[in-house]
Order: sequence, then C-alpha cells, then structure tokens
Amino acid sequence: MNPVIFIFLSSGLFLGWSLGANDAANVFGTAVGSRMLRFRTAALTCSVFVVLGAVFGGSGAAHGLGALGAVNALPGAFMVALSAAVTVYAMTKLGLPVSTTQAIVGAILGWNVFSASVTDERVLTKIVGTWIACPVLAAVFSAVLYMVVAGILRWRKPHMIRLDMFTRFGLILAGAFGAYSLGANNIGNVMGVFIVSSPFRDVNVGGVFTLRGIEQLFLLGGLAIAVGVFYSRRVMMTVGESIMTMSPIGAWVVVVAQSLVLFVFSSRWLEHVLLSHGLPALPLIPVSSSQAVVGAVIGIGLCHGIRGAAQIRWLVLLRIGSGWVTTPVISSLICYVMLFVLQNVFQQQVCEEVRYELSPEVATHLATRNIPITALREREGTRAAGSARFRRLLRGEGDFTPREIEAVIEASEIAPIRIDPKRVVALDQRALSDPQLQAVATLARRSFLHHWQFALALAEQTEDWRFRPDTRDNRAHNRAVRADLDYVCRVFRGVLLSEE
Amino acid sequence: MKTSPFKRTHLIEDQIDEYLDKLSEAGMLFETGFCRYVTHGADENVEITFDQLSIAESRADELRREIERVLYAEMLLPEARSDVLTLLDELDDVVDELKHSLQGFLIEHPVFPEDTHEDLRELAGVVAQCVEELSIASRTYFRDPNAVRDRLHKVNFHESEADRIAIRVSRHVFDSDLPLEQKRHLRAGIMSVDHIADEAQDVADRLAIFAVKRRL
Repeated sequence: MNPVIFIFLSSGLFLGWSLGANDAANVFGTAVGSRMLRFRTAALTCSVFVVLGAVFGGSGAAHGLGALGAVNALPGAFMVALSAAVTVYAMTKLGLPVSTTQAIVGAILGWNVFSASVTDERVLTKIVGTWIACPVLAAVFSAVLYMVVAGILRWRKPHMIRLDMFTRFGLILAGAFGAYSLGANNIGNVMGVFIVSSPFRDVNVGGVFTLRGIEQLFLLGGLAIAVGVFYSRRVMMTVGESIMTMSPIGAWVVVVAQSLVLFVFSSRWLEHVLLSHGLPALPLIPVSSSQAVVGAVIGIGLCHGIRGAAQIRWLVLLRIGSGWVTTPVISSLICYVMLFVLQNVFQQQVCEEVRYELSPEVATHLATRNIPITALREREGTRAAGSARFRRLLRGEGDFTPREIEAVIEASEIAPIRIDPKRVVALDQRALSDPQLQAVATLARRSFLHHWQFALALAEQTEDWRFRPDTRDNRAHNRAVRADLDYVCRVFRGVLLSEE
Repeated sequence: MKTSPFKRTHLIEDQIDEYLDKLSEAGMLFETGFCRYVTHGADENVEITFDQLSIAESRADELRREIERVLYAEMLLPEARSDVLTLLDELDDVVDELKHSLQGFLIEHPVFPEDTHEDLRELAGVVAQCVEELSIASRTYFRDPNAVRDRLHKVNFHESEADRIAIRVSRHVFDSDLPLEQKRHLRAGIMSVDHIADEAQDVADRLAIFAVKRRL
C-alpha cells in the first residue's frame, strides 16, 4: 500500500477529530453540563462506543453521502474532508455553531461543481429534508419520552437519591447508545468520501473473521473521533446549558431522543423491519447530532407549555439556525477554491474523469426500462466527460423528463469492471449469500463496460441478484440487492483501476 | 470499604428518613415536655423529656453532618444538592429552636396562671402539629415534589393558629393583675413557643421554592 495514501487520509482523520471534539459533546453534553457525570467517564464511554458504532454499524448511512457525490480520487476526497474540517474548526474557533454533516455536504457540493458532476437533486433534497426532519423528530421523541418518564415518576415516586442513581446509570447507558449511533451515523461524514477511493482491502484476522476494507477505513475514522472526544470538555460543559437549563431527567431524555434520531437514520436493521412491514423507511444518511440535540431540548421546553417556551433562549437558537445555513455555503466555497489550488498549483488529480456514452447497446437497455426509444435513438452516440456536461447534451430539446435523464446518465456511465478470480475468493462471506457468491464466481474473468451489464449478468445466475417489482413488500429486498451490488462493483472496479 | 451504589443509596435514604423522624420526634417531645411543665412545673419528668429532646437534637446534627459529607464526597444530586443541604440546615434550626425553648423554661421557671394552661397546652399542640406537617412536607419533597404544596398549606395554617393563640394568651396575661416584670417574662416564654411555628413557616416557604424547582 502506498504510504502517501495516509497523507490523503489525514484530512479525514482531522475531520474525525473535529467531529469528536464538537459533535460528541452533543451526546454527553447535557449529562456533563448538569454535572451528573464526570467528563472522564463520559469521554471514555463515548470513545469506546463511537468506535464500535463506526465499525459495526457504519455501513448504513455512509453510502448516503456517496449518492450525493462519488468523490473518486484520493486527492479530491482529501480536499473535501479538509475543507469540511477547516470549516468546522474555524467556525468553532470563532464561537459560531457548526454541524459536521452540513460542512461535509457543502464540501461535496463544491467538489461536484468543480468536477462537473451532476448533483443528484433528489438525494440533495433528501439530505436537506433531514435537516428539518431531524430536529423535528428529535423534538417529538424528546417530548413523548419526557411525558412518559414524568408520568412514571409521578406514579412510582422514587426517592430523590435513588432517582439520582438511576439517572446516572441511565445517562451512561443512553450515552453509550448515543455514542454508538453517532459513530454509526456520522462515520459517513468522516470517511464517506474515501469509500470510493479507499485503499484498504479485506483482511482475514487469524482465520476467525474478515475485516472488510470499509470496516478498516471506518475503524481508523472511529479512532480519530474517539481521540477528538477527549478534547470536547469545554464544549460539553456549555452544550447542556446554552439553550435551556437542563434537569438531570431532562438531560437523560435529550440524550435518548438524540440517540434514537441518529439510530433511525443509520440502522439498516430498522429500515429492513419498516420496509418488511410495508411502512415507509427513513433515508440512511448522516444527520447532524447538533440539530438533534437542539430539537430534543426544544421538545422538552415545549412540553412545559408557555412556561417552558419562555425558558428557551430563542436568540441562541437563532444563532444556531443561522449556522445551519452558512456552514454548507462556506464549506462548499472553501472546497471549490482549495480544489482549484490543489489541482493547478500542486498538480494533483482531484477527480477522475468519468466518461459517458449513449451507445446503441445502452439505448436498447434503456428502452427496456420504459425510456422513450425515439428520444434515445435521436441522442444515440452522445458522449461526454463529466456527468454535468453529459446532462447538458441530453437535455437539448427537452425530450426526457428529469427522472429519465438520471436513468440515462446512470446507464451511460463507462465504469469498466473485470471479475478477478483472486478477488472473488476474498469477497466477504458475511455480506453475500451463497448463491450470490456462486453467481459472482461463475462470471470470473469476464469484463463489463457498464455496471448494469454486470448486474444483468448476475441476475441471470440467481434469484438472489434479481430486483423484484417495486412494491412495498419488495422494497427491503431491492435495497439489499442494490447495496450488495454496490459492494461487488466497488471491489472489482477497484481491482481494474489498480491494475491499470 | 467501598459499598455498592445500591447499598449507598439505601443508606443515605435511610439517614434522611431518620433525620426527618428526629424532627418529628423533637416536636412531639417538646409538646409533652411543655404541657407537663405548664401543669407541674420543672419536675423530673420534664427534665427526662428535655434530655430525650437533647439526644434527638444531637442525633439530628450527626445525621445532617453525615448526609452533607456523603452528598459532597459522592457528588450526589448535583442539581438539588445545595437545596437539600439548605433544607436540612434550616430543619436543624427548627430542632434547635424546640430544644432552646424548652431549655429556657427549665432555666427561667416562669409560672403561668392556671387560667392560661388550657390555651398554652393548645399552643404547644398546634406548634408540634406545625413541625409534624413540616416534617411530612420535607419527606414528600424527596419523593413527590408536586405534592409538597398540599402539605405546606397545613404548616401555614398551624402557624397562623399558633400566632392567634399566642396573642390571645399574651393578652390574657397582660389583662391580669400580675406584676409587669412577670407579665413580660411570661410573654417572652409564650413568644419563644410561637417562634418555633414562625421558624417552621420560614422553612416551609423555602421548601415551596425548592419543590417548584424540582417539579417535572
């Protein structure tokens, strides 16, 4: 492995450190601020569970940012993470409220503009939607939880001293859950941009289990967050008290509500359960723990009616809200400028050119997906470097709807894949079913120009690789197949790129 | 030897409960001792009751110091610690007041006219009731802050009642043919008893604020 890779990864580690020093304070801030827990206890619990969450639960939300912009070159990923980290660090130093999620989203948008890549508007809307949904959901969770807890306490009437002890244990448990959820959800912010260009390969640890490349990447990011946690004392002390003075029970409710929000936005298990019961699932994307904590505190305040609302320091909230708007803007500007400098001054390739071609084969394939064939035939032969340019050419006279254009871009992407037998053996046995692994093995030594060709070839081999009609019952299956497909594509595409 | 958090919690709970028991006990001992004093003067039984009151007061002091030490050392109740310690301190003042008032009678030996005895016994009963309600309100504070208010209005009621009886007895004393210095002496004695109820009401006022702070 090239050691230079670690220099590029350093910006992600810096971002992880910043996240640990800032966002981790949201998990235990109210507990430490209300002096229910010692900083040392909180930091230790937090760092251990952040790493566990990042490694074992991180894959759910991490791909959410990949859908916003697939940063495909290490120097580019380095600069995206560095821009976000610099934004977080600078705004924190200036005493301005900041969210790591928004910083990284802003930086990815900056990369998209610089690399002439299309920003998926649906994904962007989804992410921005969570910036509203996340605090609202946290407020609802905390209000309901607070009322339930208050009801139980009124009914059981525990002694003040006993309640104090239970609250302390509760805070440690809830904080551990919160730290796990933070690691699982926010590792995508720290290492998400490195997934596509990750240098790590799957490693078999003593023949006992396989540590996937992505898990190694997340372990590294998790450790960076864990180190950052130990620098969060000052932030922790102020977080709990800045918006509203918290009682210990309130502190516990805030930690639980916030953890639940991070959990629902990162749990594949929950998504599967919801989808398999025909319920709508929340998108798995990194959300801001700062927003969740603010929402949770407001939820408790509003539980007390006008008296509680009057206790909320609305000016502080306004300041925090303004930070949510300025952070992505500042971060994207910094990223754009720094990418320019890195590419033109330091001569680094910040993005790999992705080519698109609407070949007759692609057009035939798209026709089977109900894209108007006449419009496709008219555009046949269209080719361009960069999805933004390709989209401009496609738009032309406006024959395609935005959704159709998306489908055409996706299918036209030239992404060569070669099924290397050595890599087939190294595929993660836990991630794929036996028929899936067998199907991949059958295709050994074959090459594909487009992902969809590979997907079709796999689907011919086994039911396990086949997408089902888009009904409620089938959504969980289809999502799982999509995730597995992304994984194998990444494995074999990476091999081809490194061999080239 | 380090005890488990559960055992430690039990221990402090028990200590707080015992402390409040001592407050209630002190109120009842005061009533017994004072009523006996009014009827029989400073006899041996009153001395015995006073000794019991002194022991209860010392034990309350001991408990207060131990609770204070544990709350600080174990960093318990970070939010309510200062309120709890203030409450225990002020309850301790009430116990002191009970002791000093009875002690005053044993030192000064004021002799009350017989026609005031009934009123004085009623005064002692109301004051003891006032202290009892304060002890119940304090106990409620530790378990159910929302219900403290219901108890505190009883403290206020008994305090007003004590004031009313104290004024009535004082008037009666001053209307009598006793020498002025004796009248003043008796009035000081009556006021020292009434002052216990005033002290209890002051604590009740603070307790009302502490309870509001802890309400969910």
